[in-house]
Amino acid sequence: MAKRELQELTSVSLARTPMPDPTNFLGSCVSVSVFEKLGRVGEGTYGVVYKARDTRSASTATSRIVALKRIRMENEADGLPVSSLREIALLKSISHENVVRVQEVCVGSSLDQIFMVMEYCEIDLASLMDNVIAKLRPNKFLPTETKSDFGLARKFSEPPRPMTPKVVTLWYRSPEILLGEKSYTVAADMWSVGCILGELIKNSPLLPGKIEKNQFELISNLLGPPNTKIWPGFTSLPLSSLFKFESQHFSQVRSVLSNASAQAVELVLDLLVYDPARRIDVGRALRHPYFRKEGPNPCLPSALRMRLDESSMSRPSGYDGSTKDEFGYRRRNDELYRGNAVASVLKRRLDGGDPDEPERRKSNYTRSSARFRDRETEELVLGARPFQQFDFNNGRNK
Amino acid sequence: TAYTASAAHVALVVQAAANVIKCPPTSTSTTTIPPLAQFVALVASRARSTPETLLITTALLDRARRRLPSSARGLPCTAHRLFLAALVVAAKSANDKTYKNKSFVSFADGLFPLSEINLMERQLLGILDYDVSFSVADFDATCARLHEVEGAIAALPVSSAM
Repeated sequence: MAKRELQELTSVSLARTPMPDPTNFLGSCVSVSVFEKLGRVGEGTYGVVYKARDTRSASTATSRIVALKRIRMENEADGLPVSSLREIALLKSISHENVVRVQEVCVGSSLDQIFMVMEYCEIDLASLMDNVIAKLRPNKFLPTETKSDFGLARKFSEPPRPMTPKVVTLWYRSPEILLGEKSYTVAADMWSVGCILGELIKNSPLLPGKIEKNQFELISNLLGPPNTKIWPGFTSLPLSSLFKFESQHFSQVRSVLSNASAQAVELVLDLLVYDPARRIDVGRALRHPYFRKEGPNPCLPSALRMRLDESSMSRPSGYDGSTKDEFGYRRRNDELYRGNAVASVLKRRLDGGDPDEPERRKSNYTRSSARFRDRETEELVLGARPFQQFDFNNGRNK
Repeated sequence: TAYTASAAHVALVVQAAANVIKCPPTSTSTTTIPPLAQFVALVASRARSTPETLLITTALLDRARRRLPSSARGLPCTAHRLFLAALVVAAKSANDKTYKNKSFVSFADGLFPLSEINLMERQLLGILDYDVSFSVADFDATCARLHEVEGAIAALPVSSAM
């Protein structure tokens, strides 16, 4: 049958039947050839990421630098992977300045060459922020997408269909999902947030499990084993009988996160609560004393950029000449926590053009002057202009 | 018990698929291409498509229609291809677990080989510019049309519902 179908197609074209313009079928997808590959940035579970320049603009100086993420097409029998389809759909639909945008999708000559064109984040490369962006972003999306899917499905499907437990990077997977809960809620995301916050404080993954069993052991080692008093009903979850909870009986969070402030530990503890019903929710987390009672206060991303950018003084905090540890993480840098002071100095400089500023800066920051030098050396070595894309001046200097 | 797709869902998808692009009627060509309605009903039931999958399929087809120039002309099998591609994409966006593209080869009675199904999937996504979202507004609009189709089917004399 397939053979005859092809013959028919041939006969149609031979008969010069008016055919629709074939370019219509490519929609607005551009060819990947408009991008000049500059290098390979990294490789994730979902595909290889390249840095590329958009050659459609006239000069190289103004051309757009983008990240091209090639979709991994593992199995031709599957067609386009579900995860990629959803990732594209979600990232295209979300417009938020904290979320990396998929600007377009471009295709190569072969069928399996599909690239997501995303804004290029210079900081992805080597700073502490890398972990905020690269790690939080992809993994935060998985539960969100299942959720929105779930929310929609409920409207016209009764009863709601169970969701797959194979979501979220294992390290950030919540205990109820590990135990086979199929109707998990937003609380599963809050667990992930707790893991990521802990990771940022600790500078290494909080619960880097290798397999599901190991993941639960790590959780149990960190928090103590669950019991029906702190998590009523967990024994009725499908897989709870498969895990053994015999490790130590005390929470180790405080000692593991010994470098964190008191309220930061409190917030991690509130996020890493076994019982999803008792876990802190988004609203309460945002009102947590960590954000209210301890400085530096939360600020808008625009203000954050002000702290981090400015070629002459505030190198991004990750660039302190420190060495990476075994996880590729840079050591924590106090600079980030003094960011507010830097921001106010910068702001004055920008607003009033304070002539004494360099002198004052020197006296204010003698302790860290060595660091500035280190960073500059490192910048030369790396040849990188980190945070380049953050034009916090917004043209004010022009 | 799960709510299963009705004749109205199938009719809605047929309507949407037929309207995307002007195609010569299948009857004028060789007999290898089944009538669109028959094809949709067959594939949808074999793929055990849920009502929401068919509603999303309809929304994707409507979106494709809006994105294609009205002058576009298809082949006799174009509506079939568009439907199949939309169903594959809709099933992927609606379900956590779904059939592989390979499975649709047999669902469609081997009318299209795997390579063609992969190609049509990506061509449809190209037309849609990879916009496979299904908003509440899309849902409401599609449901409104579903009710119209349901009304039309109910008004039909008994014994000729499809």
